[in-house]
Amino acid sequence: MDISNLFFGLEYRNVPDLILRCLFLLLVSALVLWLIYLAVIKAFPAKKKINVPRDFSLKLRFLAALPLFLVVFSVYIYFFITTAKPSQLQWQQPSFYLNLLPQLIIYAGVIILFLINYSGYVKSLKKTEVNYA
Amino acid sequence: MPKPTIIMGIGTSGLRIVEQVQHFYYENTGRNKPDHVEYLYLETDENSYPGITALKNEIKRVYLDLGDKETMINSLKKDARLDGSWLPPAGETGDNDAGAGGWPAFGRAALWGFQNFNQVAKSVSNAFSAVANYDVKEGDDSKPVVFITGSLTGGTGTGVFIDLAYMVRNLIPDIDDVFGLFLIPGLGKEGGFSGKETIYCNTYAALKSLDYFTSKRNGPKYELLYPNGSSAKFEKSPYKLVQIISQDYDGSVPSIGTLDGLYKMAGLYVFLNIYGLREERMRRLVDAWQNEHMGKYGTFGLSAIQYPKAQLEEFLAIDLSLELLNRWIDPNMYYAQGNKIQMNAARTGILKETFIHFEKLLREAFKSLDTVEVEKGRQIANDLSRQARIINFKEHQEESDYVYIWKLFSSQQAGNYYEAIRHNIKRAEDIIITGFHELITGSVDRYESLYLARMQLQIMIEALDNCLNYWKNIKLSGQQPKWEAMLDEQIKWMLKKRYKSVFEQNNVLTDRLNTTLELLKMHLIANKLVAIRNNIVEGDFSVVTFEHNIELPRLKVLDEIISIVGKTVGKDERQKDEKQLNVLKARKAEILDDIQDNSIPILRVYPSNSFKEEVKNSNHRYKQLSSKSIPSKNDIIGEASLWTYLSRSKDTLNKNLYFDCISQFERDIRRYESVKDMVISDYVQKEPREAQKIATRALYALAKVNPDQATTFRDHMYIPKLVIGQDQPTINRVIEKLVDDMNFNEFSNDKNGVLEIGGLKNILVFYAEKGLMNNNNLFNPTQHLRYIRDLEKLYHDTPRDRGRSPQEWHIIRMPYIKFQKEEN
Repeated sequence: MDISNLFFGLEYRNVPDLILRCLFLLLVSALVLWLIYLAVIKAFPAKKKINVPRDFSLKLRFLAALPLFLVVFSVYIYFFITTAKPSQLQWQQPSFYLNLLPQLIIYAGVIILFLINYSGYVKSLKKTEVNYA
Repeated sequence: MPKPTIIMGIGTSGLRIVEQVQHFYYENTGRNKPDHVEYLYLETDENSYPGITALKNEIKRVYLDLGDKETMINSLKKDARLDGSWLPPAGETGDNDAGAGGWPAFGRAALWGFQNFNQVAKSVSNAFSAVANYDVKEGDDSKPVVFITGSLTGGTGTGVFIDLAYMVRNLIPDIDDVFGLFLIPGLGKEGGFSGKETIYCNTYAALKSLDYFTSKRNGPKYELLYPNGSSAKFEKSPYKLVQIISQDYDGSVPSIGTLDGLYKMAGLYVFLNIYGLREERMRRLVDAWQNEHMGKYGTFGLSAIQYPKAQLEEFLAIDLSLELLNRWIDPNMYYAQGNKIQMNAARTGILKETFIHFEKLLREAFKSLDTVEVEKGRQIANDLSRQARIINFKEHQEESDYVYIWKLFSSQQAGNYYEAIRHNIKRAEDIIITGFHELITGSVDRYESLYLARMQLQIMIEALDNCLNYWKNIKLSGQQPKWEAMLDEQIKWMLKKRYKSVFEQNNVLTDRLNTTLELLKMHLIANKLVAIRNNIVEGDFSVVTFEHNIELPRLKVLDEIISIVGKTVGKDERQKDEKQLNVLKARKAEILDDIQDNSIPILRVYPSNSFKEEVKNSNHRYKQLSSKSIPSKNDIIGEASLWTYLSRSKDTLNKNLYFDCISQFERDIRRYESVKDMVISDYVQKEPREAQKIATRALYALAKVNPDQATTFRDHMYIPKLVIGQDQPTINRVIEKLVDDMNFNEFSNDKNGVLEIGGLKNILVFYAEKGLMNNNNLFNPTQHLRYIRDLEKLYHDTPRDRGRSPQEWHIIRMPYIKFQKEEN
């Protein structure tokens, strides 16, 4: 299996191939998200004057990294669509969507991850306990 | 040329007279005394003190301690050198508890007892030294003049007045001019002695004793040994001349209504004597004495027309003081940048500001602990990141990270963060105390409202409560076991997810260690905050900082200050145990009473014909000239801190407030010349009838004489009868107007009838000395006072009514004369 098929393949072959593509894409997405998170942390260090706990600031930066990741992922999707031949874009075929499942899972997963983290962050802000982690 | 002069008041009456002298001198010169005069007063009542004056009170108090009469008298009796035959029985207390208890014998014993004699001798010598160097050109005049004054009614005056005169003669060699001015009681409104028998008996005893030493027929008799070992032997009478005055006038003129009025007249007399009258009197009396037209006793008539400038100034000063003190204790309003603000309306803003102040304070206090050294050179705040690295990289020797962190923060370990913070917690406490102090000090200084400061302190308590409640909610407490439990949770949390994946584990752990350190600070300061809160709310004792002794403000202190300021204003009625309290409103009423007292022979006149109008005009002028629409603390204490001033000493606050307010405002009123002078002769030109009425009162002596309806006073060319004023033309205008318009020619405008005293402003005085009777006998109060025979009878009848033998009565009342001799 060549590497371009892993990223830009539009033809459904079989389930193991789909699972493999899905795992690969998840792995790469996690790596990209981690890189973005790291970049955000280093690019926007916590201001010393504002007494925000480090845990909060890291959580907040992670929340910021998720939309940034979505932007990067959207750029990938753009290329994914534009590099495909029109004959390959069979929007009426269910197998077409089956083949797009890894991208859809990541898209939805990131949004769900954002919402979960956001609500967790808000909850921790409202906590009266000493330890906010 | 004025002579060096010592004026000595005996007892409370003596003090009041000397105060009046000082007052008159201040009115006319702006000073309390001239350089050649010293004021002293002797007192047996420990609660009697000189009152307030605009400038430093120059009256020196000499306290005759009668603390333990019994011991003192027994000790005098045991002294074999002394003649103790006059001493009263040791076990008795007198007619009352105050001072000499109304017994002349106790009064005399007070002078002799304990260290009192030495103290009086020292005071007289010091006063003499102070005036002796006064530059007098004529050699003969270098001997000082001594005026001794007081009343012959109580125990102190009647007990001391003869010894004191001889003591002065003994201490100041060759002194001749020792004069006495003594007040005796009048007949009273009902003309009887009922209820005041002992006072009249004391007067009788005093007059008899004085005459015993004064009358020529008895010859020399003052020969004794003083308790300090010095001896005194005199052949002359104690006083060169004794003036006797009472509230009663001779003739049909109504009496002076109050004792204060008489003090005023006595004060005016002594004041005039140190201001030029004595020289004129002596010039004339020399001839009177040589020709036996004057003896050792005298009295006088005295009246005046006065524009009461000093009273006006004091009244205005009190008005301004009241305005200022009422500003300080106004529960509803305060001033900010000249605007009056409703306190309730401003509460929300004040609450917000005060909460912010509290938070800032707490942060500062906590921050101060960051620099605490856990080891030499290792400050806690900087040590945390090092510890985080040690933990994250397992560079410690402990069995686990948990144990390592526990040892850093546990109360059960020594040499760790816990111990370091605990040992330095006073530092944080001091910052909080200082912060509270600065908040209240700043507020009181800036807004001059004690109720506003009180509100702020209450808000601070609210902020403290909120803080402590929050800590309670997060299960934080000052108790060690609870801290240990919390620490366990903290460590577990600290060691959880540390963001190693993004290489933030050191920062995260440092941050968590820091959070735990903050919690440790809270745990250790919690009890201190509770103590601070309780001290503010209900503390009886002050909590102070380790350095600089800065005091934590307390509600009780504020309430106490508010109460004292209120009492000084006169918001509440004076309680029985607060006789010594100085009350502005009471003083204001006293001035009004004095101004409106028509029974004293001083006619008060005003340019606007009304005292109140004068006060209003002067107040307006003061505010205009000083450009001060609202009085402020700067008028009283300048730039000094008002809080420090008010909280310094509660015991003296009332006195200080009263004194400082009146004196400082008076000073400013004088500086801005808010009360203008008045030319009295202008008034006489307009109202000659009123002027004549008041001048007539000076023709009558201030003592009722003529017991046999045959002898009364007569005038003589050698006996002074004067109009005293600022300058000759003014006096002449007055005399001429009285002669021309009223046909009143009792006072002449020749050189013997006029006394010009340059500095005498706003007053014109009529003075007539008395001492010669119309049968050419010399005045003697033991013969010529109207009630002298009644007094004699009363003196001899009263002991029987009081269950005492004549001898016991004599020992108590007449300590200067041996019983047998008096009987003879």
